Amino acid sequence: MQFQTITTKKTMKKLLIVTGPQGSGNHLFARLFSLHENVVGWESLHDKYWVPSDEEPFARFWVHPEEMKKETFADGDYFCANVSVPFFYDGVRQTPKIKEVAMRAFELGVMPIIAVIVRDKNINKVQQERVGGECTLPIALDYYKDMAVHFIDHEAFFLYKEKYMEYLGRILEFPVTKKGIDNFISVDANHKYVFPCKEHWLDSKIREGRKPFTLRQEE
Amino acid sequence: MGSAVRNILCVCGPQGSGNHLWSKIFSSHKDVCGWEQLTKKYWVGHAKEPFHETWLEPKLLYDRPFKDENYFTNTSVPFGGHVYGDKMIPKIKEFIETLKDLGFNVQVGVTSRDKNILKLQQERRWKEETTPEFLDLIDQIENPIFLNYESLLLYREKYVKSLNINIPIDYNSISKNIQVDQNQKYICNFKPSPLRKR
Repeated sequence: MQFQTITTKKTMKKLLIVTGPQGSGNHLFARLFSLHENVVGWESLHDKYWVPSDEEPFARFWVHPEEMKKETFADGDYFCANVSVPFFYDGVRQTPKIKEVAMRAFELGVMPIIAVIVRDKNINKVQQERVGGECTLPIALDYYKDMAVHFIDHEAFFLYKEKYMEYLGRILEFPVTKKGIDNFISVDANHKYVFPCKEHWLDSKIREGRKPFTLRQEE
Repeated sequence: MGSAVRNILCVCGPQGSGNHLWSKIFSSHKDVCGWEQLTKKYWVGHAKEPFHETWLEPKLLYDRPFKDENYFTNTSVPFGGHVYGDKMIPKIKEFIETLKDLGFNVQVGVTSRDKNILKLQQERRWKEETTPEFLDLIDQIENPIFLNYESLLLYREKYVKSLNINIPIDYNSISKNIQVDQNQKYICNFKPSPLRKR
């Protein structure tokens, strides 16, 4: 798919498809990209901490993309949709038809932009195993393999906050707001997985390299 | 100065955020004048990075000959540590502005890694968390390109290609340079208490 290479006219509506492996931050980024007043997004996430992914406004289209119509995009110029890979729809685990949704949107005159969320793979794996009993990361990696995508980094958001959101708005050419993002920064979901490690073999070498030349051992 | 456009990619970031790994990757292309020594050794101190002195004193850039078309440079912020008496803050804004004044097409990359891991690693190596010192000056950098360690490890060439970097990149060097997942040793499974509530 080569949507990114096509020049976007200012008048063209946009559909930002935010997707990621299960547990990579799908709900978080769906919320963040739905904050801007000009974006039609996942409204129910504003009020509830968690909503099942098959209640996401575009959920049915991930299974039946052909049902997407011009009216789907009647209420605005910027739309944000979210789905994990794989995802559960009506109790059945399946791979969402992201490519087909993007193609269908394009046929309807809406420019699709696909952005893949990344979270530390070790954390993503242990979380998937805990919550779902198995690691589904390879399914997502395989699915995204041949797609033209942008990347959204979970860790960069928690480190750089507003500055990172500005960057995402710039690369995705999609409206973002800094207003209200503080509500999502207070809980860093990675913190509970990270523990000190003992001395690493490179530590002493690096410390040696930090000394002034006069105090450093000859190599 | 010739009339050809000269590109430079300046990468900076907190200590331990992947500065060396990104430096190896961006210095690997034969048409890039970067940190060549680091492409041949596993680790080299930043004091030996070719532009090191000019990050600390950007005016020195005016005395430096630039014969190549593409350059790469990197520094961590801060450089060094209190514990060794050599802690310094590179003059990032002045460095970038001086390069622009010299006619360079400048891109600035900012390295990123999980903040919890950064804190633990910095405290272990430098006896203090130093990320806030980088965060204090990040607003001096206009339109940075974020270079994320976690994304690099997971998506490798595909991720680097998505960054729209102006200097040539040897994409074959990427996986070769990612020898170990440096985050793995910090991650343990988390078992929520049955009483835990959101």
